[in-house]
Amino acid sequence: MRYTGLIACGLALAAACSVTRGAHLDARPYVADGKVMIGTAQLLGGQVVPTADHHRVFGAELGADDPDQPFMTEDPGFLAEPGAFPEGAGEFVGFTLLDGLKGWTGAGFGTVPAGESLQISRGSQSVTVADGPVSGYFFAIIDPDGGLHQHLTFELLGADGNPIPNDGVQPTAGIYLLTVQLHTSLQGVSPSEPFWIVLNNGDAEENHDLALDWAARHLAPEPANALAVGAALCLVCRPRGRK
Amino acid sequence: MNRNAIVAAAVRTVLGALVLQAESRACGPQGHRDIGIQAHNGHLQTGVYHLDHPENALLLDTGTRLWSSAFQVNALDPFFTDKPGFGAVAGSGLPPGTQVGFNILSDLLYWDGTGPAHFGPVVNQERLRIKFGFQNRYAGTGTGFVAGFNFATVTSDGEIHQHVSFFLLGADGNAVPASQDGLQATSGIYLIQIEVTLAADTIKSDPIWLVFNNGLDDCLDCLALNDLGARMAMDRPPADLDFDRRVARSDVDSLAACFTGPDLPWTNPCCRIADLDSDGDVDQSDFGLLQRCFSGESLAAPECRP
Repeated sequence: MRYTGLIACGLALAAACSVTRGAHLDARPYVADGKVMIGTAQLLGGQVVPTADHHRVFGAELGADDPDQPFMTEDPGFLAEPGAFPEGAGEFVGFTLLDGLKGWTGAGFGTVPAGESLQISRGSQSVTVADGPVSGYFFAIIDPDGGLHQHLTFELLGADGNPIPNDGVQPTAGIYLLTVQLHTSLQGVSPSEPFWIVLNNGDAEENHDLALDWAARHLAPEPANALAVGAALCLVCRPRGRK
Repeated sequence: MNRNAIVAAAVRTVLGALVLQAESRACGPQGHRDIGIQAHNGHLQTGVYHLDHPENALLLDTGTRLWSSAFQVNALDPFFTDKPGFGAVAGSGLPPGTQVGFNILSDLLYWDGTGPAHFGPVVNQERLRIKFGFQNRYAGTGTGFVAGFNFATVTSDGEIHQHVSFFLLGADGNAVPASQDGLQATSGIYLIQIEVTLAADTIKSDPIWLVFNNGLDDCLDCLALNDLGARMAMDRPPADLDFDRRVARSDVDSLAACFTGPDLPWTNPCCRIADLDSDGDVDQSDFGLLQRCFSGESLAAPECRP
């Protein structure tokens, strides 16, 4: 079983990474069966290419966008192909945080080590998640063609409530877990199942991979489990910047 | 009605038809077009970073020094925009691992859309806030040069693509619409001059200009862009009526739509742009001036003047 999982992981990794260098994988919201679903998509030039239909664990590296802001990332973004939201033009997509911010213990996720919290911003809108669920906000308007592409800013805050490095208090190095649900203002469309963003704050990649693997196996118990791990691992090795 | 539906309805009620106006612009090339940069003779050269190409991002129209954007087109957050972004394509010549940033070179300037385009100080203490992560910079009256910050790191193949946040703040210092707090930035066209920097300011671009339309008719935005492009940025001639750096059939059509004939004054303020000889009418002499600068699909010579 272990080897089967590893092989599936490898295949998924190969499949998801067998794209042009510089490919960019984001979370892909779309509507199916009256519900928001979450998959993956990448942007190749100006084209949105869906790469998976079911995907519930995403990795991200804090500090990957700007080394001067080591506790920030804009990954994963949210990218949907034309037609992903049928008749959705001008409608909104928003998020809810279904649980508090969690920290990796080495064998699972528990409370954060030292009062850390996570701020999620887009323009004037911002929420901070600490030890419990938080209502989010609408952050994207569906394009006229039924697709969307939007990035939120994730900033890990130290116990002093800011993400500024070298101010005396900064968030503990480690792996953090965010539990997210997407919803839309489209009539009759239900919110997504939970999905998870596993953020690495300066910890070893091996630990990040372990945490991603644990999340895929324990939080997202679906047949695509192993695929999720593979693609999640791809997500964390994506290049800086957004496309 | 669930909570999400109620919030969505409230957003629509407050912001009304803005949803339908989203991303609609009548002037200039449409689509995802950002500030492109590449290394050129020890300097940063700017152009248009074009992401809509089906295969790869492209750098087009090098020498472009003026970009347009708009507030009040995002129904969720009307005084916020993240356009234009910044981009560099593979092979840009930017050294991998170096950081890209910006400096603000001027006060925030303003034109109310009446008469000829003319930019002066803002009228009600408006400021432009530029944000990325926890970094913030402000431009207003009297701020002048403001050292900016880095916002992107060049990848191993020379690419960047990053968007920073622009907020137009009212006299109350925030970007909240008047419907919610009673104050918002005055409608009009706002202008700021910046430079793009590389490797801790050791390499810089020429000055570039960013124009933000805050709630005026698109044709007045075009008028401002036309004037600034020809007079300040000097990257296109006045006969480029649709802000694409070309004098082409589309510009002839724009002129024809305003054609009055000799000594017959134009009355639609949107037609001021077509009065190339500034004699109050749009006639054959204006067409002659446009014809002299005609470039078709090629970039027009910026120095082609009436």
